Amino acid sequence: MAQQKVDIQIEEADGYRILKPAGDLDVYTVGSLRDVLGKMIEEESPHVVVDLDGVPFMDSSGLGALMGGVRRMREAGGDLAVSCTKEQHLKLFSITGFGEGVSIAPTVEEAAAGFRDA
Amino acid sequence: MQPLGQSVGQAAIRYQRPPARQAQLATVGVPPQDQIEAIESPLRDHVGCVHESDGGSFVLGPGDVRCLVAAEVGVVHACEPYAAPCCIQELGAVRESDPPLFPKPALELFDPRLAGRRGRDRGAQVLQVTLVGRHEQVVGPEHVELPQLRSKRPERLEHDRNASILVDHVPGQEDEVDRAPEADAQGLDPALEMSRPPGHVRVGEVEDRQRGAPGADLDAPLDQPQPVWLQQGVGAETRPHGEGGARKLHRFEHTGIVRLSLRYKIVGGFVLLLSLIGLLGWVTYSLFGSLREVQTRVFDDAVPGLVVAAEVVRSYTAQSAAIRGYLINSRREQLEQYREEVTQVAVTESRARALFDSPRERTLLAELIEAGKDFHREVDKRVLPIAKKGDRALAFNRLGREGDSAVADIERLGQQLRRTQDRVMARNQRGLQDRSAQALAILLLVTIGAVLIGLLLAIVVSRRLVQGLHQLVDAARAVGRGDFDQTIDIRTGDEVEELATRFTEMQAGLKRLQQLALHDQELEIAASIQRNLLQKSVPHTPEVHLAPMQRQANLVGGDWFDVDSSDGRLAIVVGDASGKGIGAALMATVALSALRAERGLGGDGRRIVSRANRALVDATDPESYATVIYLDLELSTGEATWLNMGHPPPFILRASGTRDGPRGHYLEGPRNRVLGWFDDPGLEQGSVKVLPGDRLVLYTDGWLEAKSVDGESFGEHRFAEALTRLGILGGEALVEELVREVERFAAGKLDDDLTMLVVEFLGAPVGRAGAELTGEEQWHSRR
Repeated sequence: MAQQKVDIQIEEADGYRILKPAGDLDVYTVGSLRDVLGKMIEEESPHVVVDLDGVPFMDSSGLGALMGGVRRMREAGGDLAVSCTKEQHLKLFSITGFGEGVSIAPTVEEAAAGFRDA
Repeated sequence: MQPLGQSVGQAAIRYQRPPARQAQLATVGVPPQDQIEAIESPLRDHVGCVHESDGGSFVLGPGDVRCLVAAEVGVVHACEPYAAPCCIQELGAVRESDPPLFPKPALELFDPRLAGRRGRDRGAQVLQVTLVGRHEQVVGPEHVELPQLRSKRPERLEHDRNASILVDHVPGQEDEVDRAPEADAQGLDPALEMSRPPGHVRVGEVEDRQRGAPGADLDAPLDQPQPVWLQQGVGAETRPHGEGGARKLHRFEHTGIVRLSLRYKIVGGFVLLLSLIGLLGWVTYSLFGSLREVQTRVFDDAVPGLVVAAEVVRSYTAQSAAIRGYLINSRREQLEQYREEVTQVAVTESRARALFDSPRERTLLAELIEAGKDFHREVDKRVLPIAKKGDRALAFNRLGREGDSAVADIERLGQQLRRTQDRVMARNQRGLQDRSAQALAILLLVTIGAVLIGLLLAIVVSRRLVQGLHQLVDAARAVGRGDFDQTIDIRTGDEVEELATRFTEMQAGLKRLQQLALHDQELEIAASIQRNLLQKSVPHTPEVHLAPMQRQANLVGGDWFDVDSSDGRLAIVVGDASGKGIGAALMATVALSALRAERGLGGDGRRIVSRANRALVDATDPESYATVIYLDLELSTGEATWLNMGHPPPFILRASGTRDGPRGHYLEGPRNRVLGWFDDPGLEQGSVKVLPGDRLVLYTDGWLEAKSVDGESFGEHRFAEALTRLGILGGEALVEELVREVERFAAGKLDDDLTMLVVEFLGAPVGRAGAELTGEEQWHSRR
């Protein structure tokens, strides 16, 4: 089966990029996010804020991609933060403990302010 | 083709208008829904199926509002509506129709800007699709007649890379629909279209910030509206927009070799051969004509000339003899014979004038005729009057002196004339021989040439045919050996290439089938390994009753539970690995093994979980993790402690609830982080006193995330309410009923694994604490 895709818009901000996936982040679509994050690292811009307000549903695969992104970004000297206001995602972060190791904030700017120093 | 809305359930659902479109319809005030339906329903039959095998396929449809497309890999490579962005919505596999309309995953193209348009405006929109890949085929109706819109599609597309096709138009607007003004009318800058990165589709614009897919120009100013490109397809190439781009409607372009059907090639060969044979016939005919001309000259001119010359000479000789006889014998018959010969020689001379046409011949003939006239004058004016006077001796002498010299001249001239005719005859005979030799040579050359050309044609055509067929035979043999990667490169532009194209598709299909079979086989092995690892039964103890339930969405899953009873304690693990499928199953297997191994080494729950986490962090990739509940139940006291490692909280159903309040609640103890990712996941424990009859419900998130058709999750609230409501049932019955309830909620479509373990504490047997077991304890336990 062909890999399904999630539309990901990329915006440039001061010193980091903002990824805005639009659509479900699940096992079928998470490859797109993984690919984009991989390219960010290749392009040596490893500071990224993922804005999840356009993601109505995210499962453990989506969370895994974010967690993997955090790990890889940090290894590349950057960081990944999450901008999210959706209760459902915040709960998932809370349950899994993901929120305790990663900058998660309601706005992109606040999330970016929480980047861990390299 | 059946109407899509009737035959394909899932697709029909997709055809319902999205809310945005309905809003648009409302604002522009278009005619009622039923009228729009009447126009658009034929479009739903207009479905393009595209099969491809080597690098992306394409999509096209009515170009007006939407189309459905079957595709396999790399789907829409570049889809550019004429002037508006195009939404691409993935439908997933559509299998409900019979026969299957879309045996493969399908895509839907939908252009929201065209949704509310009617008539000319809508028809002016052109969907341009760039095709990439060598093997495309469109299956579908050639024409769709619509009230205001006529669409056309080719039955079969060419096999060239980078072919473009334009579909859809309104009659009367075929020729001059210019892209730029239309783009301007849409508020879009055609220049932006030119900047589209390869393999991207424009999906919209942003006003305040620049957006772009990876690889977009990120140095552009931030305050200008920037196009947003959505990357499409993987690894395929796209012809840049504007490079020979199709502008005319209904024009099909391809950049490859000229296509010529094998049939036409064979017919062409025969025509060429027939032409050669015709040429041969014409040459032969011309040569025979030339020979006949020479023959005519010999028989019609030279031979009669000879005869006439001889006849003239003979006649004068006869005249001379007749006059001599008359002078000697005085017989009137001989005089009449002379007169008769004179008449005849006049006729013969007139024939000779017609036969001899060369100046030399004419001169000789004129001299001969003049000599004849002299002879006749001599005879008629001198000899005969003298003879009539009676002086025959004088007349005879006169004839001998004057007449014989004239006859001698005539004989001499006649001889010369015959010689000329002999020369003409000889020349013509030589000409005839030369012509014959030439004719033979030309005939031979033309015949040899025709044979050579025929042979050349036969060799070239047959070699090309056979070469292609040999390739196909080799490839077929390779397929027989299980090698599906043999490349076939046939570019004859005829049915053999078509056959090769289909064969390549078949190769790809077979390879895919083989891979799928292999994949299935591997999946079966993985499932077998996992089945052996997962606990088949739970331990039975007098103190607890365990009701386990596990249901995997796929052959392998990421959920597991593990129960161990030892030293008067029950250690229970319920876990859920991230992801789905084999990846999740591997992670679950690793986590399960790590926890079992660490439990074997001894220690309390914290030590076991901590060591297992360390092992998982080291052994697994950064995207994989597992959520776990590790629960220890002291069987003698009912004291339960648990570690929640990023997992949904356990639920407790109390045996003795209050009259009004709920009998159950989530055990919201301390929460730690998932296993396999954090160096320090946290190891805070929760604890609860479980009373006899109480039930602990351990589960995975599949229950909470079950989705209804509206996309709503089952959620914690429904889960807790259902558990409490069904708590009156026994462990197994409770689980079964809960499954039914979740299935009803999700309309039978559960995508995630479901795992549940209901632990019912029956209570410690009397005298259990610290005493030796007697075997009678179960009869004294409190229920």
